[in-house]
Amino acid sequence: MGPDCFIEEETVAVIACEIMEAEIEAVTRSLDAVETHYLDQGLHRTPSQMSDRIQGIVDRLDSRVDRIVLGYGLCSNGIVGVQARTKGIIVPRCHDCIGFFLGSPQAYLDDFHSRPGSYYLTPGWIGEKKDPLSIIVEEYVPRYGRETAEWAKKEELKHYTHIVLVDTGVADLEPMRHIAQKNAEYFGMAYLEIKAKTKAFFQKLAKGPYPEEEFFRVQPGDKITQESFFD
Amino acid sequence: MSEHLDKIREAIVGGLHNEIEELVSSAVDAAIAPQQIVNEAMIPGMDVVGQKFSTNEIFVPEMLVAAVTMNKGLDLLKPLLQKAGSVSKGTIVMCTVKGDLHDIGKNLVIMMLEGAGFEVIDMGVDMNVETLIAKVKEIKPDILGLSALLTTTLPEMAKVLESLEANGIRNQVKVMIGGAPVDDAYSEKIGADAYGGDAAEAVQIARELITG
Repeated sequence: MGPDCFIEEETVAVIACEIMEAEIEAVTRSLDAVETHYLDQGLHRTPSQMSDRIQGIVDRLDSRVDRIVLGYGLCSNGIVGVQARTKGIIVPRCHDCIGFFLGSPQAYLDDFHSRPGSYYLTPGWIGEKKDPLSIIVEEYVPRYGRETAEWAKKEELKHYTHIVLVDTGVADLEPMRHIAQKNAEYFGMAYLEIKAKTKAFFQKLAKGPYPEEEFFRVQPGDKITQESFFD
Repeated sequence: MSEHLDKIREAIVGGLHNEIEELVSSAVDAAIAPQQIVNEAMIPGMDVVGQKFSTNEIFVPEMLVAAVTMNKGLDLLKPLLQKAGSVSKGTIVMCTVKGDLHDIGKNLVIMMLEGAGFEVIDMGVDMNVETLIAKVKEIKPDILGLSALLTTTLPEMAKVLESLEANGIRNQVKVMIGGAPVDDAYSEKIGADAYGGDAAEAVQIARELITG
Protein backbone atom coordinates (compact mmCIF):
# COMPACT_ATOMS: atom_id res chain seq x y z
CA MET A 1 0.00 0.00 0.00
CA GLY A 2 1.37 3.44 -0.89
CA PRO A 3 0.57 6.59 0.99
CA ASP A 4 -2.91 7.75 0.07
CA CYS A 5 -3.67 11.39 -0.34
CA PHE A 6 -6.83 12.96 0.86
CA ILE A 7 -9.03 13.93 -2.03
CA GLU A 8 -11.43 16.62 -0.97
CA GLU A 9 -14.50 15.05 -2.62
CA GLU A 10 -13.94 11.63 -1.07
CA THR A 11 -16.21 10.73 1.79
CA VAL A 12 -14.56 9.06 4.75
CA ALA A 13 -16.12 7.14 7.61
CA VAL A 14 -14.15 6.65 10.81
CA ILE A 15 -15.43 3.84 13.03
CA ALA A 16 -13.83 4.23 16.43
CA CYS A 17 -13.93 3.44 20.10
CA GLU A 18 -15.63 6.20 22.07
CA ILE A 19 -12.55 6.42 24.27
CA MET A 20 -10.93 8.52 21.53
CA GLU A 21 -13.99 10.57 20.60
CA ALA A 22 -12.61 13.89 21.88
CA GLU A 23 -9.31 13.41 20.03
CA ILE A 24 -11.07 12.43 16.78
CA GLU A 25 -13.65 15.20 16.97
CA ALA A 26 -10.87 17.74 17.54
CA VAL A 27 -9.53 16.99 14.05
CA THR A 28 -12.73 16.08 12.15
CA ARG A 29 -15.14 18.77 13.33
CA SER A 30 -14.20 21.05 10.45
CA LEU A 31 -14.14 18.27 7.84
CA ASP A 32 -17.50 17.87 6.12
CA ALA A 33 -16.37 14.82 4.19
CA VAL A 34 -15.53 12.82 7.34
CA GLU A 35 -18.27 11.15 9.33
CA THR A 36 -17.62 9.44 12.64
CA HIS A 37 -19.19 6.44 14.36
CA TYR A 38 -18.36 5.54 17.93
CA LEU A 39 -18.81 2.28 19.81
CA ASP A 40 -18.91 1.55 23.53
CA GLN A 41 -15.44 1.46 25.13
CA GLY A 42 -16.55 -1.53 27.23
CA LEU A 43 -16.11 -3.70 24.14
CA HIS A 44 -12.38 -3.90 24.83
CA ARG A 45 -13.22 -6.25 27.66
CA THR A 46 -15.28 -8.48 25.41
CA PRO A 47 -13.15 -8.74 22.26
CA SER A 48 -15.32 -11.58 20.98
CA GLN A 49 -18.22 -9.14 20.58
CA MET A 50 -16.17 -6.27 19.22
CA SER A 51 -15.76 -7.58 15.68
CA ASP A 52 -19.52 -8.21 15.26
CA ARG A 53 -20.36 -4.68 16.36
CA ILE A 54 -17.76 -3.12 14.07
CA GLN A 55 -18.79 -5.37 11.17
CA GLY A 56 -22.39 -4.22 11.55
CA ILE A 57 -21.38 -0.61 11.02
CA VAL A 58 -18.96 -1.44 8.21
CA ASP A 59 -21.77 -3.26 6.37
CA ARG A 60 -24.00 -0.20 6.59
CA LEU A 61 -21.29 2.12 5.29
CA ASP A 62 -19.55 -0.04 2.74
CA SER A 63 -21.63 1.02 -0.25
CA ARG A 64 -22.17 4.60 0.88
CA VAL A 65 -18.74 6.10 1.62
CA ASP A 66 -15.51 6.13 -0.36
CA ARG A 67 -13.18 5.15 2.45
CA ILE A 68 -13.58 3.31 5.76
CA VAL A 69 -10.97 3.87 8.48
CA LEU A 70 -10.87 2.09 11.83
CA GLY A 71 -10.25 3.96 15.04
CA TYR A 72 -9.27 0.66 16.63
CA GLY A 73 -6.06 -1.22 17.17
CA LEU A 74 -5.76 -4.99 17.29
CA CYS A 75 -7.44 -4.63 20.71
CA SER A 76 -6.88 -8.17 22.02
CA ASN A 77 -7.84 -9.53 18.58
CA GLY A 78 -11.19 -7.74 18.84
CA ILE A 79 -11.05 -6.54 15.21
CA VAL A 80 -9.85 -9.81 13.69
CA GLY A 81 -12.23 -11.03 11.00
CA VAL A 82 -13.73 -7.64 10.10
CA GLN A 83 -14.01 -7.02 6.35
CA ALA A 84 -15.45 -4.50 3.89
CA ARG A 85 -16.62 -6.21 0.72
CA THR A 86 -16.36 -3.32 -1.70
CA LYS A 87 -14.16 -0.64 -0.17
CA GLY A 88 -11.64 -2.41 1.97
CA ILE A 89 -10.58 -0.88 5.27
CA ILE A 90 -7.67 1.23 6.46
CA VAL A 91 -6.38 0.01 9.80
CA PRO A 92 -3.80 1.62 12.10
CA ARG A 93 -0.99 -0.77 13.07
CA CYS A 94 -1.59 -0.07 16.77
CA HIS A 95 -2.01 -2.89 19.27
CA ASP A 96 -4.52 -0.82 21.21
CA CYS A 97 -5.66 2.76 21.71
CA ILE A 98 -2.51 3.77 23.56
CA GLY A 99 -0.64 3.72 20.25
CA PHE A 100 -3.06 6.34 18.92
CA PHE A 101 -2.65 8.52 21.99
CA LEU A 102 1.13 8.26 21.99
CA GLY A 103 1.21 9.35 18.37
CA SER A 104 2.20 6.21 16.44
CA PRO A 105 2.41 2.43 16.72
CA GLN A 106 6.19 2.63 17.07
CA ALA A 107 6.01 5.32 19.75
CA TYR A 108 3.84 2.96 21.77
CA LEU A 109 6.13 -0.03 21.30
CA ASP A 110 9.17 2.06 22.25
CA ASP A 111 7.45 3.43 25.35
CA PHE A 112 6.04 0.04 26.29
CA HIS A 113 9.35 -1.79 25.98
CA SER A 114 11.21 0.89 27.90
CA ARG A 115 8.73 0.69 30.79
CA PRO A 116 6.59 -2.48 30.66
CA GLY A 117 4.88 -1.70 33.96
CA SER A 118 3.02 1.35 32.67
CA TYR A 119 -0.66 1.87 33.32
CA TYR A 120 -1.67 4.52 30.80
CA LEU A 121 -4.40 7.05 31.47
CA THR A 122 -5.85 9.58 29.03
CA PRO A 123 -8.61 12.19 29.34
CA GLY A 124 -10.99 9.69 27.72
CA TRP A 125 -10.21 6.85 30.10
CA ILE A 126 -10.38 9.13 33.14
CA GLY A 127 -13.64 10.64 31.86
CA GLU A 128 -15.13 7.16 31.63
CA LYS A 129 -13.99 6.50 35.23
CA LYS A 130 -11.67 3.73 34.13
CA ASP A 131 -8.70 4.72 36.24
CA PRO A 132 -8.00 1.93 38.76
CA LEU A 133 -9.31 3.85 41.81
CA SER A 134 -12.57 4.68 40.04
CA ILE A 135 -12.95 1.06 38.92
CA ILE A 136 -12.66 0.02 42.58
CA VAL A 137 -15.33 2.50 43.65
CA GLU A 138 -17.70 2.27 40.68
CA GLU A 139 -17.47 -1.38 39.71
CA TYR A 140 -15.77 -3.53 42.31
CA VAL A 141 -17.13 -2.23 45.64
CA PRO A 142 -20.82 -2.66 44.69
CA ARG A 143 -20.12 -6.19 43.50
CA TYR A 144 -17.56 -7.47 46.01
CA GLY A 145 -17.47 -5.10 48.99
CA ARG A 146 -14.61 -2.71 49.74
CA GLU A 147 -12.12 -5.14 51.21
CA THR A 148 -12.20 -7.61 48.34
CA ALA A 149 -12.46 -4.78 45.81
CA GLU A 150 -9.28 -3.10 47.01
CA TRP A 151 -7.43 -6.38 47.40
CA ALA A 152 -8.40 -7.60 43.91
CA LYS A 153 -7.33 -4.41 42.13
CA LYS A 154 -4.03 -4.37 43.99
CA GLU A 155 -3.48 -7.99 42.96
CA GLU A 156 -4.26 -7.15 39.33
CA LEU A 157 -1.78 -4.28 39.29
CA LYS A 158 0.90 -5.64 41.59
CA HIS A 159 3.61 -5.70 38.92
CA TYR A 160 2.79 -2.25 37.50
CA THR A 161 5.33 0.41 38.31
CA HIS A 162 4.05 3.63 36.71
CA ILE A 163 0.88 5.58 36.21
CA VAL A 164 1.43 7.37 32.91
CA LEU A 165 -0.87 10.25 32.07
CA VAL A 166 -0.89 11.01 28.35
CA ASP A 167 -1.65 14.62 27.51
CA THR A 168 -3.57 14.24 24.25
CA GLY A 169 -4.24 17.97 24.01
CA VAL A 170 -8.03 17.83 24.29
CA ALA A 171 -8.67 18.52 27.96
CA ASP A 172 -7.64 20.69 30.85
CA LEU A 173 -4.93 18.52 32.33
CA GLU A 174 -5.09 19.72 35.93
CA PRO A 175 -8.11 17.68 37.08
CA MET A 176 -6.76 14.66 35.17
CA ARG A 177 -3.39 15.09 36.83
CA HIS A 178 -5.03 15.16 40.23
CA ILE A 179 -6.82 11.84 39.59
CA ALA A 180 -3.79 10.18 38.00
CA GLN A 181 -1.54 11.23 40.89
CA LYS A 182 -4.05 9.92 43.43
CA ASN A 183 -3.93 6.56 41.66
CA ALA A 184 -0.14 6.52 41.64
CA GLU A 185 -0.05 7.32 45.34
CA TYR A 186 -2.66 4.71 46.30
CA PHE A 187 -0.97 1.89 44.39
CA GLY A 188 2.56 2.97 45.27
CA MET A 189 3.55 3.61 41.66
CA ALA A 190 5.67 6.33 40.13
CA TYR A 191 3.81 9.10 38.29
CA LEU A 192 4.72 10.22 34.81
CA GLU A 193 3.26 12.57 32.21
CA ILE A 194 3.79 12.28 28.48
CA LYS A 195 2.94 14.91 25.92
CA ALA A 196 2.65 13.06 22.65
CA LYS A 197 2.08 13.89 19.00
CA THR A 198 -1.50 12.73 19.38
CA LYS A 199 -3.13 15.28 17.13
CA ALA A 200 -0.85 14.55 14.19
CA PHE A 201 -1.76 10.86 14.31
CA PHE A 202 -5.50 11.51 14.46
CA GLN A 203 -5.16 13.92 11.54
CA LYS A 204 -3.63 11.12 9.50
CA LEU A 205 -6.38 8.78 10.64
CA ALA A 206 -9.08 11.13 9.37
CA LYS A 207 -7.42 12.59 6.28
CA GLY A 208 -4.44 10.50 5.36
CA PRO A 209 -1.82 10.11 4.16
CA TYR A 210 -1.51 6.59 5.52
CA PRO A 211 2.19 5.77 5.77
CA GLU A 212 2.83 2.06 5.52
CA GLU A 213 4.66 1.85 8.83
CA GLU A 214 1.61 3.22 10.63
CA PHE A 215 -1.38 1.90 8.66
CA PHE A 216 -2.28 -1.04 6.47
CA ARG A 217 -5.04 -1.45 3.94
CA VAL A 218 -7.23 -4.53 4.00
CA GLN A 219 -8.33 -5.25 0.43
CA PRO A 220 -12.05 -5.52 -0.39
CA GLY A 221 -13.39 -8.86 0.79
CA ASP A 222 -10.26 -9.68 2.81
CA LYS A 223 -10.48 -10.05 6.56
CA ILE A 224 -8.35 -8.33 9.16
CA THR A 225 -5.88 -10.82 10.65
CA GLN A 226 -3.66 -10.82 13.70
CA GLU A 227 -0.63 -11.39 11.43
CA SER A 228 -1.07 -7.98 9.83
CA PHE A 229 0.09 -6.43 13.09
CA PHE A 230 3.31 -8.41 13.20
CA ASP A 231 4.53 -7.84 9.62
CA MET B 1 -18.74 -39.16 48.83
CA SER B 2 -20.13 -37.23 45.90
CA GLU B 3 -21.82 -34.85 48.32
CA HIS B 4 -18.44 -33.87 49.80
CA LEU B 5 -16.97 -33.36 46.36
CA ASP B 6 -19.99 -31.37 45.18
CA LYS B 7 -19.70 -29.01 48.13
CA ILE B 8 -15.99 -28.43 47.53
CA ARG B 9 -16.58 -27.78 43.85
CA GLU B 10 -19.37 -25.32 44.62
CA ALA B 11 -17.26 -23.58 47.27
CA ILE B 12 -14.54 -22.97 44.68
CA VAL B 13 -17.00 -21.73 42.07
CA GLY B 14 -18.55 -19.40 44.66
CA GLY B 15 -15.21 -18.31 46.14
CA LEU B 16 -16.18 -19.42 49.67
CA HIS B 17 -12.67 -19.10 51.02
CA ASN B 18 -13.82 -19.08 54.64
CA GLU B 19 -15.55 -22.44 54.28
CA ILE B 20 -13.22 -24.41 52.06
CA GLU B 21 -10.89 -25.69 54.78
CA GLU B 22 -13.71 -27.21 56.78
CA LEU B 23 -15.19 -28.79 53.67
CA VAL B 24 -11.85 -30.28 52.64
CA SER B 25 -11.20 -31.53 56.17
CA SER B 26 -14.52 -33.31 56.34
CA ALA B 27 -13.91 -34.87 52.94
CA VAL B 28 -10.56 -36.15 54.18
CA ASP B 29 -12.24 -37.42 57.36
CA ALA B 30 -14.69 -39.27 55.15
CA ALA B 31 -11.69 -41.12 53.69
CA ILE B 32 -11.84 -39.54 50.26
CA ALA B 33 -8.41 -39.71 48.65
CA PRO B 34 -6.67 -36.31 48.45
CA GLN B 35 -5.91 -36.69 44.76
CA GLN B 36 -9.54 -37.48 44.11
CA ILE B 37 -10.58 -34.28 45.91
CA VAL B 38 -8.27 -32.32 43.63
CA ASN B 39 -9.17 -34.10 40.40
CA GLU B 40 -12.90 -34.48 40.91
CA ALA B 41 -13.81 -31.35 42.89
CA MET B 42 -11.18 -28.64 42.74
CA ILE B 43 -10.10 -28.80 39.12
CA PRO B 44 -13.69 -29.18 37.84
CA GLY B 45 -14.62 -26.20 40.08
CA MET B 46 -11.95 -24.03 38.50
CA ASP B 47 -13.07 -25.31 35.11
CA VAL B 48 -16.51 -23.81 35.79
CA VAL B 49 -14.86 -20.58 36.95
CA GLY B 50 -12.86 -20.45 33.72
CA GLN B 51 -15.97 -20.94 31.61
CA LYS B 52 -17.88 -18.24 33.49
CA PHE B 53 -14.92 -15.90 33.00
CA SER B 54 -14.79 -16.53 29.27
CA THR B 55 -18.48 -15.70 28.92
CA ASN B 56 -18.12 -12.53 31.05
CA GLU B 57 -20.40 -13.90 33.72
CA ILE B 58 -17.64 -13.19 36.23
CA PHE B 59 -14.55 -10.97 36.16
CA VAL B 60 -10.99 -10.97 37.45
CA PRO B 61 -11.88 -10.44 41.14
CA GLU B 62 -14.11 -13.54 41.25
CA MET B 63 -11.36 -15.47 39.52
CA LEU B 64 -8.84 -14.33 42.12
CA VAL B 65 -11.13 -15.22 45.01
CA ALA B 66 -11.80 -18.66 43.51
CA ALA B 67 -8.04 -19.18 43.20
CA VAL B 68 -7.49 -18.17 46.83
CA THR B 69 -10.22 -20.62 47.81
CA MET B 70 -8.67 -23.49 45.92
CA ASN B 71 -5.23 -22.61 47.26
CA LYS B 72 -6.44 -22.79 50.85
CA GLY B 73 -7.90 -26.20 50.16
CA LEU B 74 -4.74 -27.36 48.42
CA ASP B 75 -2.58 -26.25 51.33
CA LEU B 76 -4.46 -28.73 53.50
CA LEU B 77 -4.10 -31.49 50.95
CA LYS B 78 -0.45 -31.05 49.94
CA PRO B 79 1.05 -32.82 53.00
CA LEU B 80 -1.43 -35.64 52.52
CA LEU B 81 -0.62 -35.92 48.83
CA GLN B 82 3.08 -36.17 49.67
CA LYS B 83 2.40 -38.67 52.44
CA ALA B 84 0.41 -40.76 50.02
CA GLY B 85 3.68 -40.97 48.12
CA SER B 86 2.23 -39.72 44.89
CA VAL B 87 4.89 -39.62 42.21
CA SER B 88 5.38 -36.40 40.23
CA LYS B 89 3.47 -36.52 36.99
CA GLY B 90 6.22 -34.52 35.33
CA THR B 91 8.21 -31.31 35.55
CA ILE B 92 7.04 -28.04 34.05
CA VAL B 93 8.86 -24.71 33.76
CA MET B 94 6.42 -21.81 33.51
CA CYS B 95 6.72 -18.08 32.88
CA THR B 96 5.07 -14.99 31.48
CA VAL B 97 7.13 -13.87 28.48
CA LYS B 98 9.46 -10.86 28.21
CA GLY B 99 7.73 -7.48 28.50
CA ASP B 100 4.55 -8.93 29.94
CA LEU B 101 3.90 -8.47 33.66
CA HIS B 102 0.58 -10.27 33.91
CA ASP B 103 0.50 -13.42 35.96
CA ILE B 104 -3.00 -14.04 37.23
CA GLY B 105 -3.63 -16.61 34.52
CA LYS B 106 -0.18 -18.16 34.78
CA ASN B 107 -0.45 -18.50 38.56
CA LEU B 108 -3.83 -20.13 38.19
CA VAL B 109 -2.41 -22.65 35.74
CA ILE B 110 0.51 -23.36 38.09
CA MET B 111 -1.81 -23.96 41.03
CA MET B 112 -3.91 -26.37 38.99
CA LEU B 113 -0.88 -28.21 37.62
CA GLU B 114 0.60 -28.60 41.11
CA GLY B 115 -2.73 -29.84 42.39
CA ALA B 116 -2.82 -32.35 39.57
CA GLY B 117 0.55 -33.70 40.66
CA PHE B 118 3.06 -31.92 38.43
CA GLU B 119 6.19 -30.31 39.74
CA VAL B 120 6.23 -26.71 38.54
CA ILE B 121 9.13 -24.27 38.49
CA ASP B 122 7.69 -20.76 38.32
CA MET B 123 10.03 -18.35 36.56
CA GLY B 124 7.75 -15.37 37.15
CA VAL B 125 6.95 -12.56 34.73
CA ASP B 126 8.85 -10.51 32.14
CA MET B 127 11.15 -13.48 31.55
CA ASN B 128 14.03 -12.94 29.20
CA VAL B 129 14.77 -15.67 26.70
CA GLU B 130 18.38 -16.32 27.75
CA THR B 131 17.53 -16.97 31.41
CA LEU B 132 14.65 -19.19 30.38
CA ILE B 133 16.76 -21.27 28.01
CA ALA B 134 19.43 -21.66 30.69
CA LYS B 135 16.77 -22.92 33.08
CA VAL B 136 15.43 -25.40 30.56
CA LYS B 137 18.96 -26.71 29.99
CA GLU B 138 19.51 -27.02 33.73
CA ILE B 139 16.19 -28.56 34.77
CA LYS B 140 15.40 -30.51 31.60
CA PRO B 141 11.65 -30.20 32.20
CA ASP B 142 9.09 -32.29 30.36
CA ILE B 143 7.14 -29.16 29.47
CA LEU B 144 7.81 -25.47 29.06
CA GLY B 145 4.70 -23.30 29.60
CA LEU B 146 4.54 -19.75 28.21
CA SER B 147 1.92 -17.15 29.03
CA ALA B 148 1.13 -13.70 27.58
CA LEU B 149 -1.78 -11.35 28.06
CA LEU B 150 -0.83 -8.65 25.58
CA THR B 151 -0.62 -8.85 21.81
CA THR B 152 2.46 -6.62 22.02
CA THR B 153 4.32 -9.42 23.78
CA LEU B 154 3.06 -12.34 21.66
CA PRO B 155 6.15 -12.29 19.40
CA GLU B 156 8.22 -13.15 22.48
CA MET B 157 6.68 -16.62 22.42
CA ALA B 158 8.00 -17.15 18.92
CA LYS B 159 11.43 -15.96 20.06
CA VAL B 160 11.48 -18.61 22.80
CA LEU B 161 10.65 -21.32 20.25
CA GLU B 162 13.36 -20.03 17.90
CA SER B 163 15.85 -19.99 20.72
CA LEU B 164 15.04 -23.57 21.73
CA GLU B 165 15.74 -24.55 18.12
CA ALA B 166 18.94 -22.51 17.96
CA ASN B 167 20.18 -24.17 21.15
CA GLY B 168 19.40 -27.60 19.78
CA ILE B 169 16.99 -28.47 22.60
CA ARG B 170 13.62 -28.02 20.92
CA ASN B 171 13.01 -31.77 20.70
CA GLN B 172 13.85 -32.25 24.38
CA VAL B 173 10.91 -30.28 25.74
CA LYS B 174 7.24 -29.89 24.89
CA VAL B 175 5.99 -26.32 24.72
CA MET B 176 2.49 -25.31 25.71
CA ILE B 177 1.23 -21.75 25.43
CA GLY B 178 -1.73 -19.78 26.73
CA GLY B 179 -3.14 -16.33 27.43
CA ALA B 180 -5.90 -14.10 26.15
CA PRO B 181 -4.48 -13.31 22.67
CA VAL B 182 -3.26 -16.87 21.99
CA ASP B 183 -5.14 -19.47 20.00
CA ASP B 184 -4.57 -22.77 18.22
CA ALA B 185 -3.63 -21.03 14.99
CA TYR B 186 -0.92 -19.01 16.72
CA SER B 187 0.36 -22.09 18.50
CA GLU B 188 0.66 -23.88 15.19
CA LYS B 189 2.24 -20.88 13.50
CA ILE B 190 5.10 -20.58 15.97
CA GLY B 191 5.54 -24.34 16.29
CA ALA B 192 4.39 -24.84 19.89
CA ASP B 193 3.09 -28.28 20.84
CA ALA B 194 -0.22 -27.20 22.34
CA TYR B 195 -2.45 -24.31 23.31
CA GLY B 196 -4.69 -24.26 26.39
CA GLY B 197 -7.74 -22.02 26.56
CA ASP B 198 -7.98 -21.99 30.33
CA ALA B 199 -6.34 -23.45 33.43
CA ALA B 200 -8.36 -26.68 33.42
CA GLU B 201 -7.52 -27.27 29.77
CA ALA B 202 -3.86 -26.62 30.57
CA VAL B 203 -3.93 -29.53 33.02
CA GLN B 204 -5.53 -31.78 30.43
CA ILE B 205 -2.96 -30.77 27.82
CA ALA B 206 -0.04 -31.27 30.18
CA ARG B 207 -1.25 -34.80 30.88
CA GLU B 208 -1.57 -35.52 27.18
CA LEU B 209 1.82 -34.04 26.31
CA ILE B 210 3.54 -36.20 28.89
CA THR B 211 1.78 -39.45 28.12
CA GLY B 212 2.30 -38.69 24.43
